[in-house]
Amino acid sequence: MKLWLFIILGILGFVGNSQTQLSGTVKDSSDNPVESATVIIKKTNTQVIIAYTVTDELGGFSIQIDSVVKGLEMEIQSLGFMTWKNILEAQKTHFDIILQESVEELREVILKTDPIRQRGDTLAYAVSAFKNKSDRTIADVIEKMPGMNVLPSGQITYMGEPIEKYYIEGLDLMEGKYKLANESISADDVARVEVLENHQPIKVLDSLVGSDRTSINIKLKNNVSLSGKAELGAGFSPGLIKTTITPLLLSKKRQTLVSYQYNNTGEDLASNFKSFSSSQSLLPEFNTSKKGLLEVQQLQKPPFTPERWLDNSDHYGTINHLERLKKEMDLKINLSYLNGSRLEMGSQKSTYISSSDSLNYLESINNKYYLHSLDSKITLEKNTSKNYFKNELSSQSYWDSSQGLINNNASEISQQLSSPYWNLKNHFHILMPIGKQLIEFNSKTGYVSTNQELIVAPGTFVDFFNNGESYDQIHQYLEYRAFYTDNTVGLAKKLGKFTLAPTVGLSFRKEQFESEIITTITNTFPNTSNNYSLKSTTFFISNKLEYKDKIWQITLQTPLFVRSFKLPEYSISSKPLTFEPRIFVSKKLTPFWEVRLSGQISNSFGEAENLHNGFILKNYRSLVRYDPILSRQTQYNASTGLRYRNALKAVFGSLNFSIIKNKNNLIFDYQVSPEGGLAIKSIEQNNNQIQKNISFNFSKYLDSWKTTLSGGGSFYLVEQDQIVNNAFDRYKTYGQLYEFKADIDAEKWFGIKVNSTFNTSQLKSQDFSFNRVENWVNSVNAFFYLDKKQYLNGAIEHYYNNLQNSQNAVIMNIKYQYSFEKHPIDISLSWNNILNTRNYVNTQNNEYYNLQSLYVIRPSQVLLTALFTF
Amino acid sequence: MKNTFFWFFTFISISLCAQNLKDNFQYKATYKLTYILDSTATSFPKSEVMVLLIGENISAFSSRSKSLDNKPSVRGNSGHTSINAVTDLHYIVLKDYKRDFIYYTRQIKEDFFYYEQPKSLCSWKLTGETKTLNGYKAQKATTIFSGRDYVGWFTPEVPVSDGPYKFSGLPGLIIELYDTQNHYHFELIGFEKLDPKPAFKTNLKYYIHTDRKTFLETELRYRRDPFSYQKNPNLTISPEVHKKYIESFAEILEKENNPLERE
Repeated sequence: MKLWLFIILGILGFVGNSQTQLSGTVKDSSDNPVESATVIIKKTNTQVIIAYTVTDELGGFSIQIDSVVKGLEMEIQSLGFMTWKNILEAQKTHFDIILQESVEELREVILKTDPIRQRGDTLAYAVSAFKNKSDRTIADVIEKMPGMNVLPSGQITYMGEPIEKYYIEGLDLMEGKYKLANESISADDVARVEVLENHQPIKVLDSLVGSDRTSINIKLKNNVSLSGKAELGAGFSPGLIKTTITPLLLSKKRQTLVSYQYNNTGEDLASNFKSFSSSQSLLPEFNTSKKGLLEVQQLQKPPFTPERWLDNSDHYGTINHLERLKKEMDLKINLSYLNGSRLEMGSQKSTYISSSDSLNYLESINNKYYLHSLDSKITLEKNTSKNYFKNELSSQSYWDSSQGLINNNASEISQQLSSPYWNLKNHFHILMPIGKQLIEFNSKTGYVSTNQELIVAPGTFVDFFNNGESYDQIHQYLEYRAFYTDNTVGLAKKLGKFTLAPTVGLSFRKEQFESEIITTITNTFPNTSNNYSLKSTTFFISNKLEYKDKIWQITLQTPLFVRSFKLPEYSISSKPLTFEPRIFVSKKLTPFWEVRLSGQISNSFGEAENLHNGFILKNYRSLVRYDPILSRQTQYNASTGLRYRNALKAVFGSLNFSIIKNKNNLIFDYQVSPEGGLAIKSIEQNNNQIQKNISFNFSKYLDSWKTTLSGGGSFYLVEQDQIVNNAFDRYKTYGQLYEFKADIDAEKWFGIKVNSTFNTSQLKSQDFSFNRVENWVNSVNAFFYLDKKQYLNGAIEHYYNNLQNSQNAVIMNIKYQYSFEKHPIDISLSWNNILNTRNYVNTQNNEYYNLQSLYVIRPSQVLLTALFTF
Repeated sequence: MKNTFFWFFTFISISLCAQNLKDNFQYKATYKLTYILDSTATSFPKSEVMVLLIGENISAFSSRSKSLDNKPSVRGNSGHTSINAVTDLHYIVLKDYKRDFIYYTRQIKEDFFYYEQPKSLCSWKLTGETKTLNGYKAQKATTIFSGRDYVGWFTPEVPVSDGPYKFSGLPGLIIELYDTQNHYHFELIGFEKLDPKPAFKTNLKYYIHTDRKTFLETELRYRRDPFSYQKNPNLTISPEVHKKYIESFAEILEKENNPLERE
C-alpha cells in the first residue's frame, strides 16, 4: 500500500537516543477520514520541520521521531481545513484529531509580469539555421524546415496539411498562386520564416473562431529588398531552351513580382495559373473554368511528369503588385499572360463489343494546340479587428485554338477548333459584428461567354447527313453564355465542445445555349440546331453541428434545398425540394483502434450544356443529343473504416469499405458505327449505378534499416446500365489494385526508393466480356549525395501492359547537380530517356469499351541548366 | 493468429488498468523554469513558464503553452500562433494523490502516450535551513533524482504535498527547486486560487500505455525523423529533402544533450 507512509523521509539535527513513535487519525467534523493531510513535527523555537508524513485513506498516520519530544510541536494541515497545532508531550503518542473546515484561503502571489506574452509567440525559424550553401531560393530552405514540405506542384504543406496563406512581410501578394514567389525569393534575403499555427487570417475572427490551418510569413532581412531568380538552360535534341527571370521588389508597404519564362523542355507553364487556395460552400460553385464543349480528339496523357512527354513551347509573363493604401487596407493587381503551343502525337484503339460482334476502331492522332490567355485580377482587402471586407474582381480570357489530324486507315480527317472563352467575376466577402455575433456574407457574381467552332473535313457521319455519300466539311457552332450570382449568409457559434453554424444561401443562374451544325451539303436537317435558356434558382437553409473531444468526433450537416428550374423552350418547369443530410462519426475504441462512419445523400440536376435536344458534334466522331428532360441524379454514399495505429511498434494499417449508389432518371444510348462514329442519346428511364470498394493498407518502419515498408490493395466493383447499339445491358467492372513501396535511407550518402503497382480489371456485360486489362508499373530511384556540393540521381521506370505487342516500356533518367559554394549558382546536367524509348502505351477499361493508347513521348535529351539567384 | 492474441491481450490489459481521472483544479502555481538543454552552451540558459494545477485528487504539471487555462489567442503581426509549438517540454505530468501514481503523458502526432511511476520517486532529506521566498516561509530539503542532486525549498504554508515535474512528497508545496549544477531551476512566480475552477477530465484508457524506456525510444524515433515516424500517404517528399531534413533534426537533437532526467 502506501509504502512511503511508513518511511520517515527526513531527519535532521541531533540524533537523540530515544525514539518515539507517534500515531493517530485525522477526521473532519462529520467523522469522515481526512486523506492526504500533512502531519508535521516542528521545533517550537525555530519552526524547523524535522519529520513529516501524510495521512492514509482512513485518515491514519504514524510517524517516528529520532529525538526527544521536548520542544517539539505537531501540526496537521490539509487544504480546506484550519491548521491543527499541538505542543508534544512525552506521554502522549496517540492523537485522534478532528480538523475544522475553513474557508480561509491560501495567500496568493499574483504574477506581475507575463513573460510569455512579452516574448514573440510566433514559431520562427531562422533561415540561417536551415540553409545550406547549396540552397538558393526560400523554397529550398522551407523544404527543410520541421514539418514543412513543398509538393511537386509547388504547394507547401505543414504537418501534412496545405498551408492557408503565404505572406511576405505580412502581405498576401500572390494569394493562392504563391509558387512563383516561393521559388524566386533568394534565401539570402530572408531572415526568418514564421510559422503561424492555428492561424486565423481574418483579424475580426481572431480569438472568436479557431482555425486549425497554418500559414507562413517570410520576414526579410532588409526593409526594402530586390531579389530574384534567373535560370538559363540549353540542350539537344532537338534544340532545347529554357529561360526564367523573376525579379521581386519587396517592402512592408509595396511589393512587386514580375516574371518572364520560356521553355520548350516540357515544363508546363500553364500550371502557373493554378491557385492553391480553397473554399468551402454548400452551394455548388459555378464552374467558371474553361469548358471544352467541343474538342479535337485527344490522347490519354501519360501519368508521369510532363517533362518526359509534353512537347511544348511556352511563353509566360506575370506582373503582380501590392500596395498598402493605408493601415490594414491593401490593393492588389495580378496579371498573367501565357502564349504557348503543344504538339501531341500517338494513336488509340477503341474496342466495343456487343453480343453479336466486336468492333475495333483505330485512329492515329496528330494534334497541335495553341494556347493564348490573359488572367487579370484586382483585389481590395480591408482586414481590421473590427470588420473584414474583401472584393475581388477578376477576368480570364482565352483565345485558344487547336488543329487535329486523324488517320483511321480509311481516310484522313482534319479538325479545326477555335474555342475563345471569357469570364468576368466579382467575389465579395464581408464579416461584421452584429451585437455579439459575427455575421458572414459571401457573394459571387459572374458572367461567362464562349463561342466555339469545330470544323471537320471531310464531313463525318455520312449516313446521317448525306445518305452514306461522302461530303466536304461539317461545321459545328456553339454559343454559351451564363450569368450567375451565389450568395450566402451565415454565422458560427461555439458552445463548449459543440459548434453550431447555421447558413442560408440563395443562388440564381441564367444560361443561354445556342448551336448549329452546317454542312457543305445543301440539305437541311432536323434537330441540328439548339436555342434555349435555363433559369435556375437554388435556396438552401442548413445547419452544421459539430462535436469534438478526444474520443468522439461527430459532424452533422442538415441542408434543405429548394430549387427551381425553368426551360421555356422545352416547357420544363420543376421545383424539387430535397433534404441532403451528411454525417460523419469517428470514435477512438482504444489507443490503437479507431472506427469511422460516414453517410451522405445528395442530388444533382441537369446542367444547361446537357439539355440540348438537337445534335451537337462534340468531336469528329461523337454526335450527342439529349432528351429535353431535366436530368436528376440522387447519390447515396456510405463508408466505414477501421484504423490501427501503433506508434510504439511503428505499425500502421487501415481497412475501408465504401458503397455509392447513384439513381438516375436518364440512361445513355450509345450507337457505335463500324466507322467509329458514336451517336449518343439520352433516354428517360430509371436506372442506377453502384460502386463498391474495399481497400486496405499497412506500413511498418524498420528502425535498424531506416526503412519504411508499405503496401496496400483495393478491390472494386462498378456496375451500371448502358444501352450500346440498341442492346440494354448491365456493365460490370471488377478491378484489383496492389501497391508495394520501400523507402530505404540506410546510409547518409545513399538512399533508394522502390515502388511497384499492379492493376488489373475486367469489364463484363451480362452476355460477353472484354479482355482482362493488366498494368504493372515498377520504379527504382537511387540518390547519391557525393558531398555537400554534388548530388546524383538515377531512376528506372518500367511499364507493363498485357497488350499483344509492345508490352514493356522502360524509361531511364539521370541527373547530376553541382552547387558552387562561393557564388549563388547551381549547375545541373540531366539526361532524360537515356534508352530513347519512343512511346508510352497503356490499356484501360472505360464504362462500356476498352481503350488502348500510345503516346509519343519526348526523345532522349540532354539539358544543361544554370540557376542564379540575386 | 498470434498477433490477434497479442492485440487482444493488449486490449484487455489496457482495459484493466484504465483510469478515469476527473477533478476540478483549485489552485494554480506558476513556476519559471530556467534550464540548460545544451551542456556545451551553459551560458545561454533557456527559460519557460510552467504551470502546476492543483485539484483535490489530481495535479497537472506542464509548460504553460500546454496548460488548460491558456488557450492560444495571442495576436501577432499578421495572425497568431498557438504557443503549443513554442516549447521544448511537451509533457503533462499528472499526479494522482489517491492512487499515489505519477502519470507522465505526452502527445505525439495523433497519439497520446503515458507511463506511470510511483509518486514517491525521490526520498527527501530535510535540512534545518529556512528562508522567505515570495513571502512564503520555506525550508530546505535535498534529494537525488535520476542522476542529479537537488535542493528543494518547500512551504508548509501551502499544505499541498506537490511540486514541479515529478517532484513531490514534502510537507508543503515546493516553491523552488534546482539541481546542484543549476541546469534546471524551478522558481515559483505565482500562486493563485482559481475561480471558476477549471474541470479536468481524462481517460487514460484512450492513451497508449507504455514504460519509460519504450516511450523514450518512440519519442526519439519521432524526433529523429518525424516523416518516417508516421507516413502520410498523401504526402510525397523527395529523398534529397528527406535527407537534409534528418540532418537538421540530428543537429537539433545534438543540442539537446542535457535532459532533466539523466538516467
